[in-house]
Amino acid sequence: MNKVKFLIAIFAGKISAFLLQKIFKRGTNTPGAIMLKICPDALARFTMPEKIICVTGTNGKTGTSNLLTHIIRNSGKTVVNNSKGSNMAPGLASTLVTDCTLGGKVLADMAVLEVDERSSQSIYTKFTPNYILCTNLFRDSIKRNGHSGFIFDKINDYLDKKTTLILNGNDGISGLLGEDVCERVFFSVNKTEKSTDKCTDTVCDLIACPKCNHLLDYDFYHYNHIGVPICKHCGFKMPESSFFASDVNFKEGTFIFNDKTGETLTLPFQKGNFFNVFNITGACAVCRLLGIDMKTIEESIVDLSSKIGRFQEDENSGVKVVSMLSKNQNPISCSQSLKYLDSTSEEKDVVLLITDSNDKFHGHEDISWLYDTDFGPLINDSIKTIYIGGSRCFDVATCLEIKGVDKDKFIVFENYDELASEVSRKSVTGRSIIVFFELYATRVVKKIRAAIKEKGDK
Amino acid sequence: MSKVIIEVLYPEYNNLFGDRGNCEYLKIKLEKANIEVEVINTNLYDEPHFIKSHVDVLLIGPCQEKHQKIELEKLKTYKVAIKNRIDNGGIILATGNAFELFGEYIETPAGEKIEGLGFYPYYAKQFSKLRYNDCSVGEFEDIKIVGFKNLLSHSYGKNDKPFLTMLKGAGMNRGCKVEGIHDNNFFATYHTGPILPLNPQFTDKLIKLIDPKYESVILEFESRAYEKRLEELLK
Repeated sequence: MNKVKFLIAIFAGKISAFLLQKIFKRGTNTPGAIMLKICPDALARFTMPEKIICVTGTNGKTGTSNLLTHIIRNSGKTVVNNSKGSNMAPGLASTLVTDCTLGGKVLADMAVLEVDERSSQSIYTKFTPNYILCTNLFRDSIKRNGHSGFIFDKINDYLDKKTTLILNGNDGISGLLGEDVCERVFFSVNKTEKSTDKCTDTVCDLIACPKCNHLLDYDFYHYNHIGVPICKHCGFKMPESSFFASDVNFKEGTFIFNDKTGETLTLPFQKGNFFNVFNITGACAVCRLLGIDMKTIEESIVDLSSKIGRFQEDENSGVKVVSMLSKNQNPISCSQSLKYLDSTSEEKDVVLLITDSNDKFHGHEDISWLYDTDFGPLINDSIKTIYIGGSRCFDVATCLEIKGVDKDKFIVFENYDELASEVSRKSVTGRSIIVFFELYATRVVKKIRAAIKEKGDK
Repeated sequence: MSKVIIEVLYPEYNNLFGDRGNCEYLKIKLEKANIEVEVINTNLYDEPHFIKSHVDVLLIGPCQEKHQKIELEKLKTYKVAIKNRIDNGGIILATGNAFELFGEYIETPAGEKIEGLGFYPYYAKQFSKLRYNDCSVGEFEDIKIVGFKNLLSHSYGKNDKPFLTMLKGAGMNRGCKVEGIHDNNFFATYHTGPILPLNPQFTDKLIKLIDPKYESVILEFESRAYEKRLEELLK
C-alpha cells in the first residue's frame, strides 16, 4: 500500500513540477511538499544514488555544496543537487522527484544535498548519507536556532554510525559531532598572518572547555571561536586534520590545499572572504575521499572562482555602489560582511539594511542579535554618513550608539523608498556607497542603484 | 558617586541572545553621566567578587540548558551569600533561564531534577524539542516592559513575588499571567537578550537604585525604538 502511495506521490510531484516550471518558469518546494503530503516517508523510498553527501552547518553550506557539486560534475559524474530548492525535507523531495524514474530511482551517480541543521531528524532518519560535511556551528538566528548547543544536539542525535563525518578541525563545537559513533575526518586552516592570540570578535561561542568547563586556551584564533582550542586543565584538543589549508595569501587571494598524502594544490579564494578558504578546503577534503584527482579539483575551483561573488560592485557617474549580502539575523555573518569596511580607505557612505525588511510578514523581529554583532568597522573617519533603514532602524541606531559609533552620522528611515531617494540625492561624485543588506532587502539595493543611475542620467 | 562596579557572572556561558547589551548599556549610561564604571567578569572557577567585596550590580544572563547544572553546582556553594545579598537589597538582574536557578528545581526532558537555589517555590520543566519564542510585554509598577523570549523551558508552581504581569505573551508558562521575581532589588525575568536597552525607563529606575542622584541620560533613538515596539506589540 505504501509503495502505491509513493508511486502516486512521484506522479503528483512530477506533474506539479512540470506545471510550475511551465507556468512560473521556476522550481519551488511545492512538488516536494505535495509528495510528502501523499507519502510522508517518501524520502526513505527513493532508490538513492550510490553516494550521498550532505552538507550542513551554520555558515557556508550553500557555497560549499555548490562547489562540491561543481567539482564532482567536472570529474565526469552526474549529480543531483538541491541548489534550486530549499534545504529542508520538501526541498530535498522536490530535487529528487524531478530527477527520478516513475519508479523512484534517482538518475544520478551521486547526490550532494545541502541540509538545514534543524531538519536533520526528518532527513537522516529517511536515508543514511555516506558523508556529512559540517562546515561549522555558531549562534545563528535566535528565533529559529536558539543557541549552538541546541543545534548541535539536533544534528548529533540523528547521526548513523555508517556515515563518515567531515568536520572543521578549527571548530571546537561542530568538531565534537559523532564522537565515538562515526568515522570522522578533519580539515582545518593553518595559522595565517591575520590570526590573533586573543578573540577580537564580540562573540566567542566556545570559551570554556566542552569536557571540563575550565577556561580554554587558544593557540590562535582565526575568527570568533574558530581556531586551535586547547585545555590546559584536562588536555582537551582537536583531533589532527587529514586535510588542511596553509600559506593563505590575503593579498593575492590564494592558499595551498594539503592532502594527507602530501600532495598539494595552490588554489584561489575570493579576496576579503576568509570563510571561503574553509569552504573550499572542506569541499576538497570530500572530493579526495571520493577519489577525485587533484588536477580535476584544481581546474574546477579555478574555473568557478571567477564566477561567484559575495559582493556586487558597479559605478554610475562617478558613484561607486558596493553591496554586500549578509545572512538574516546572523551576527557572525553580518560582522564578517562589515569587516569589508576595514579594507577600504576611500570616502564613503554606508547603508545598513540589516534587519528583517519583511518583518510585517515574518512577525516582529527579535533584534537581540544586533548586540552580538561587531559594529567596530563603522567607527571610521572615512565614513561620512550612515543610513539606517527599516522598521527596526531606531533599534539599530541605539545599538550603534551604545557600541560607540558616532550618532551624528546617522540618518534613519523606516521607509525604504524614502531612504533610497535620500541616498541618491545626497550622493557625491567620488564617494562610494557601501550597502550591507539581508536577503529580503535585495529590492531596496536595486532601488538605490536605480535612483543613482537615474540621477546620473539627468 | 565615585565608581560603579558591575559584576557579570559566568560570561563564558551566560552570554546568549545579545545579553551583553545589558552591561554595555548600563556602562554607557553611567559613563555619559560622568560616573566611572568597572566591569568584573567572573568565570565558573573564580570566587564571585560580591562574596567578599562591594558590587553595585550583579548580572546573570541566559545560558544553554545543559550549562544550568554546572552553574548551579557552583552557585550552591555561595547560597548563603546570594540570599544575604537579596535580603540586604543588593541589586541583581537575572535574565532568561537564569530566573530558573533561584527556584526549587529544573526538570530535564529525561526526568532528571536539578536542584535549584531554592529561594522561591517555583520549579522549571524543560521541553524536549521546540523552543518557546515570543515578543512580549509585561507590566512592572507603572512601566511597561517590552522584550523577547527564547526558551526551552517554562516554570510552574507558586510565585508570590512576580516581577511582571504580562499584557502580551506567556508568563512563567502559557497558562500563567505573571513571571519573574521582584524581591527587594533582585529582578529576575524570563526575557532574554538586551532587556535594558529595550527599556530605557526601567533602566533609569535600576540606575537610580545604584545612585539616587543619577540624572537620566537619553540616547537619541532609544525612546522611539521603545515606543514603536510597544505600539506594535500591543496592537
